[in-house]
Amino acid sequence: MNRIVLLTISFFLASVILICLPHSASAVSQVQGYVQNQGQNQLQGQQKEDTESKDPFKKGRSIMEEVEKRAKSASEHILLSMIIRDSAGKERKRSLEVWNEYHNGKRKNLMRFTGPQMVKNTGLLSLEREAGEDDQWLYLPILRKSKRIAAAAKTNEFVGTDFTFEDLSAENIDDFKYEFQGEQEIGGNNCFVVKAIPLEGREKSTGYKERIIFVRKDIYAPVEIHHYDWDGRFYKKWLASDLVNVKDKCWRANREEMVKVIETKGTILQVDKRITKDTLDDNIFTQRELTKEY
Amino acid sequence: MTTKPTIIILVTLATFVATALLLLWYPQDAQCSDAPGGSEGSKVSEGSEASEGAEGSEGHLGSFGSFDINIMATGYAYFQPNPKAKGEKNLFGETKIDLTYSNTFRESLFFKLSPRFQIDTDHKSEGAIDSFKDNDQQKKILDVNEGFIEHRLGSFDYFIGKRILSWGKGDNFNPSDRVNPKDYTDFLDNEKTGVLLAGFKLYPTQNSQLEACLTPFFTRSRIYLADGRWAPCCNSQLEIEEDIPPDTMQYASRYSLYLKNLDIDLTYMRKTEDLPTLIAIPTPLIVGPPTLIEKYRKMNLYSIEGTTTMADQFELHAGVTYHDIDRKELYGKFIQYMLGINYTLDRKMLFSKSIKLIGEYLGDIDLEKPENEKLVVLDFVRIFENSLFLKLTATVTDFSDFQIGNLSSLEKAFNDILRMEYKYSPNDKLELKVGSDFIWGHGKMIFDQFDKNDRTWAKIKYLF
Repeated sequence: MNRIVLLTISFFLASVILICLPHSASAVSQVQGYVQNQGQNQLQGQQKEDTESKDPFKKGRSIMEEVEKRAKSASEHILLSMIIRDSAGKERKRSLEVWNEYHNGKRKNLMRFTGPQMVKNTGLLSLEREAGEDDQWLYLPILRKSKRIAAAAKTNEFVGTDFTFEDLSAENIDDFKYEFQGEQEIGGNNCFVVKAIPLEGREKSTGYKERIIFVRKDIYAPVEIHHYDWDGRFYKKWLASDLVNVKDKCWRANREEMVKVIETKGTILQVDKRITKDTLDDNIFTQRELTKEY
Repeated sequence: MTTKPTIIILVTLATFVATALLLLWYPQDAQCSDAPGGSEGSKVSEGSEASEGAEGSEGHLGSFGSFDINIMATGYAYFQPNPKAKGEKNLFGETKIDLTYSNTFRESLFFKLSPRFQIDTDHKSEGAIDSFKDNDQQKKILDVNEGFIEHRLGSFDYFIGKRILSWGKGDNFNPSDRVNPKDYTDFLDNEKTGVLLAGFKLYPTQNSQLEACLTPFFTRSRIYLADGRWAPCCNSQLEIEEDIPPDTMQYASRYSLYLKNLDIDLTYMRKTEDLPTLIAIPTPLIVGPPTLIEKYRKMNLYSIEGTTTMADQFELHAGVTYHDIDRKELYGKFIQYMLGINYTLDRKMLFSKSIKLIGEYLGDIDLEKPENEKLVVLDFVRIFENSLFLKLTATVTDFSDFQIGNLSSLEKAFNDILRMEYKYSPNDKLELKVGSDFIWGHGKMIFDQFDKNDRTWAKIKYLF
């Protein structure tokens, strides 16, 4: 009896060992493989970083990819005040309502003036297309209908402000090449300095020969952009301040200012109220909402 | 008033009252500063310095709503007298005051009322509101430009009241934009006239909409056929009779589709043409001038239009409109087609910051000639057939621009209308415009009738 019990137990143990041994081997090999891969990945990452750090264009691109990724992570509805200051120092005030939605990496934007009466209900609807160009419609209350506008019209200034349609749209990073130019301290924060130049064949989609973008290293949010016109003159700069963390790694500015350096005039956008959401109703970004006058 | 219009008016008022009462008893919805819909996980933050922006408007139940006042004053100085313009001087002035009250109830019911007060130096306006129709030759001193309610229900809107709609893809030529008639007492500065409408808009998908409306009364475009600077023909010695079809209810519908880089509109209308065709009926036995008949033809109108952009620079639009006219005699079926292009050059050129160019062509094709074509004196719908419109707008400063526009007939040379204007807004409440119009015409075309109407003008618009 005892022999039978011992044999059974032995048989059982042997079976267990035999069954587990291949998996053990496989697990070991998997662990070994994982360790190797991690090592390789680290090596590759290091190599990539080294490559990027040596290649200013790759580094510039990766910085802007991170900027874009964080910027497109939160949808929002904002109430804005706009102050337009001319070269004589006279000011005009506007109020706007803006909806921004990021979905599958594509941006939808509806912007409508709520005051004063001269521009009230003027609206702009932008839907980012796969090919990188936006579908844009402008609604003018005096015409009582919306009108599709061409991409180059994006380089026009928006309703008397110093912001062009392009400035107010999401940047399409596939239209530009980015060159990392170093680091600089802006307002007490270390910033990457990235130069953006339109790619060949994409010059008409932008109003700038080049831009110098200052991106905060800690939060990957642009805080200043210098714009150069097609004559190479530094003619306007965009400044962002009062940054707030709206969601996860996404930071946005409560105050933006576009200053025309030569003409000494500018436009300030001040956020009065910001409602951040995971997603907005897609029905907002429609002709119905664009042409609504109430 | 006939029975039908009375019933329509009563139904309109009842609908408005019922809707208002229903909304009063519904629980109040969320306030509007949150966008409709959206997922959970929203976060609200105030800006750190909530500055005083300009006044917007959002009326809620119990709030006063929005009240706007526009005052527009225009002065015209004609360079030469016009023998057709009896009693009209070379200097003409008019003032219009638009009062607009609008309010939104529970974010879904919108109400707008826009009376207008207008006076002028040639007594082209007299009297006050007396009916929903606006068929008098003279404008009213006090009239309702627009007055309607619009109610939003899910993906369906409906509206009732006197309203102005704008259809069509063109900048200058819009053959399908025929819901509202126009006031041509000044042919160049013409304006749409509001008409009583009942209609709806349906939104089957996010990128499409179906719009339809009924107009129970016939309102013709206002044209001084005789005795006036802008009378396109005739003199007062000719007898002009009206011939308006008895059944004049109009139906219009439009289906719009918004695709990637392409917008399409399909339009159908059953209407009485608001622009007349002048027919000369000879007096058989008596030697004398013929009798002119002002005929308003009934027809079906079919239209397809589209707009797209190209090469990041151009906006292109085109449309074809088929006029299927009811009566064969004296009328012929025809097609109008429109081709247009917009181009914006955002570069500093000469004195301007940016330049926008518009070009449009209107052509037509006769499918069926009228049997008595020789009796047709003037067909107002087709007075600009085979015409080219060009306009240049140059932005001079952030708040001023210069425009020059030219309308040319390609039927005969030297039939043109040239307009130049400069616009300046010194602040958000004031807009100033000065300009000049020059007209060349010959060969019995419409331009010929206005050949002596070269003028200069100034307009002031003040907004409260």
